[in-house]
Amino acid sequence: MSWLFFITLAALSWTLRMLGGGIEADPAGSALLALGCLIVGAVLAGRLASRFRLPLITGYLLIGMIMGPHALGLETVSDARLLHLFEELALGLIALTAGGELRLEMVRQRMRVLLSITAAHTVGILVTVGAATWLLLELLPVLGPISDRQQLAAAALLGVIAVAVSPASTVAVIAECRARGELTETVLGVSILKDLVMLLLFTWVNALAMSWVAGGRVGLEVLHGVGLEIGASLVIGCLLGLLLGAYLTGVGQHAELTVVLLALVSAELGQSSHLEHLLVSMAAGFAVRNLFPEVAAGFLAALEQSSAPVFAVFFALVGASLDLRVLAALWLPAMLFAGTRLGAIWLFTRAPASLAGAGRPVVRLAWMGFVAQAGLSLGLAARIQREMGELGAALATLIVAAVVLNQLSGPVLWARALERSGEARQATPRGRAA
Amino acid sequence: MLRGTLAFLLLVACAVAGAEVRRHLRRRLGISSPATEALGFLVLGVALGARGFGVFPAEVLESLRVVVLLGLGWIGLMVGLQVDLGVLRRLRPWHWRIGTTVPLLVGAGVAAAAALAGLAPPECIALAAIAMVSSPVALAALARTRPPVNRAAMRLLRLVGALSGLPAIVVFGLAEAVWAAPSVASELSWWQLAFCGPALGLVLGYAILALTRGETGHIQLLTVLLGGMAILAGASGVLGLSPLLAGAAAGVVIINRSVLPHRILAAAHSLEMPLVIALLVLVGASWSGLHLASSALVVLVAVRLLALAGAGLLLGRVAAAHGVQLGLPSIGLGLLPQGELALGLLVALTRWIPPSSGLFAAVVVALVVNQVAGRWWLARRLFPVASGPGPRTPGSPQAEPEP
Repeated sequence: MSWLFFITLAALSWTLRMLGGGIEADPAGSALLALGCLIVGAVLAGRLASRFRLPLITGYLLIGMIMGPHALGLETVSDARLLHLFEELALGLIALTAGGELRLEMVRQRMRVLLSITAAHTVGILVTVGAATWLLLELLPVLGPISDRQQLAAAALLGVIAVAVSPASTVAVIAECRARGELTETVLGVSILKDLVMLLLFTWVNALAMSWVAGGRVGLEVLHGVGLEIGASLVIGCLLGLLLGAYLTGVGQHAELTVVLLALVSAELGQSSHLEHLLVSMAAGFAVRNLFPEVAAGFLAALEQSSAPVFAVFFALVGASLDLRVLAALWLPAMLFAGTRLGAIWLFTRAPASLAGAGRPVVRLAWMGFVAQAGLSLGLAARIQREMGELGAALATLIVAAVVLNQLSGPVLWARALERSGEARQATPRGRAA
Repeated sequence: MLRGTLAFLLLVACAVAGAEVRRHLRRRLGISSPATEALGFLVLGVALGARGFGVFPAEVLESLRVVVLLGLGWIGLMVGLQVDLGVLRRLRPWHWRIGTTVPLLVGAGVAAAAALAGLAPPECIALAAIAMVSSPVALAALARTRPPVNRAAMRLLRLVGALSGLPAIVVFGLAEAVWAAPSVASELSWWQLAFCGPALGLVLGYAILALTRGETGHIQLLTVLLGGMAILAGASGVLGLSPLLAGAAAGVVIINRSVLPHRILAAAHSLEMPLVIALLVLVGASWSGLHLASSALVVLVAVRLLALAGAGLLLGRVAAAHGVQLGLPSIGLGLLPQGELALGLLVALTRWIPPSSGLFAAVVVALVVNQVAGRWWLARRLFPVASGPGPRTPGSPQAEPEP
């Protein structure tokens, strides 16, 4: 019955936009219609996903894909531009949650495990997937006729992309399952560390790949700029966190609103300067959690209050940006790429976790938390497309196809891992929905 | 980078300063003033706008119209959610008469004065609709801290305040249908536009009810409500309808047909404050000059005050005729405070009249003055610090239901 009402509403929205002269007539109204349909659709899809014991965000992603510009077109590219603010806001809140979940004490205790897995992922996945991609390109000319140097560049870039994870998806599933424990903290910590490493790694490998394709030499000096960017993001984030903590301690009013405003400020900083929005928000959340323990509970409660609509909006918009047609066209190379990545993740999580003395759940199940890929990978794909001409466009298409697969399977695997480890405190479908 | 950080610093400074001022007011004068808070957010908006640090320049404000449309629909929803027909049916006929006559009298007085001052008909009707709005929120806030000198007077003020929202929205919605800027639905006649708004609200209200059936969780209800209201506001924007009117119609359906009205009301309340604050900040950011339409300001402050004083006398007489002694000749001044609905009407007004006109600034100033003056009267006359429980006359409607 609810689905019938939703389909009627979606049809009504579509008709109104057609009758009303389209998006040009009132872009804000059109974007709101799309947003409303996405939210309602995401809630219903989340309920349906719960029934099949899938994470809510899988439902959100699927409904976003179906309604997005690449399928039914209920949300258009123009709407997405106007709704970008909401997407950035949601990402900021998710990053604040990720930072807020990290305790300094936990980081100290598990430093060895965190660093081992991060280092193994960075080197192991990059080399394994890079080599496998090089072989794949030798056997299957999916990128068309390319030179040896271009093939090497493509393999290196796909290897770097394979290292990337989606901290947003990790946080969303943790919040949904209300998970706490060693596995949860380890996967979250590694995801955040990998996010930092990815920025450095991608900048360096991208510059290297461009030099292979276009000629020239690349030194470590290219990392100078991005290193500064990361450092400044962390410092500014900590400062914002200090301000937020002082506000929550001294005034304490409108905590939810202040948290939302901080996420907005961080998004604005990311857009207007070269700071990394995700890192700024994560650092702010981390500072509040660890420097103001007396308000940390209220801070996390304020974030939890907004989590359901935020996740629904963010992942439905992420789903809308994924192009299913690309997957249909490149399903075989995408599956091979995703499969190799999965194998590399499994190997380079188990081995270092075991060697670093992590607990049994981490050794057995942590790899399942590193499969999801979303915004960062898509952003990097767009950058490759922009900077590497024709080769970049072909690579970006392959990356998007693989991201679709990883993003659809990643949250499901991560939720299963949390359930199997016993760290998920809210595992029943109805419980999850509520 | 600097602008964003400065804006955040400014917000923190404003919030800390606002909290200090409120603490001071409460300690010294015995009153707590939300006007200070609202004013703080308005000032913050001015600071963030094109005239301040420029964090919200004109092009960003245009893209934030999404928030404005949603905020207006939500304010309409909150007004509609107050119209519980079951409660209204239990009211006595003279309560009805008073509750509807007082706002209409004030609106008529303000419209006439605005016309005499030479304002154009759309501006007269818009000012009348804004003047009709009285918020019972300030009164309720004071009632939580200390007892009134007269409970009957307090209840009548709350009744009139609660009943003033819907007629104001209807008058404004009609005026909007007649005079709003040409929209994509401009081929429709004004009465068709006036009809389409509530019809859209009714459809969306029933749809929200169906979608929330079986949901009891606060966050889930809030999410569905947010989605439904986004569709409502978007459809209003695309068709050129009044989101306030459509939202109010949806609210009436939801509160009267829902099996869990209190849960939906709580969910709606939880997003009301953030949206109102966002609207306040955006109103402040839209401020584009010091030009002030003095005639509109006089009409909205002085004429409204006189009209309310006159309406208060009428209120006292009607109450006395039904055996209720109010004992406060200036009771009408208790209706001076204006809440978020007046703010919503002001924002909706920007569809006809650009924010750069003096009328916009005049309404902002008038709302602040009315809020401060109204709270001052309530704190001094109806809720003096040393007051005990009010006189209880036999005809006092204490045991009677109220909306």
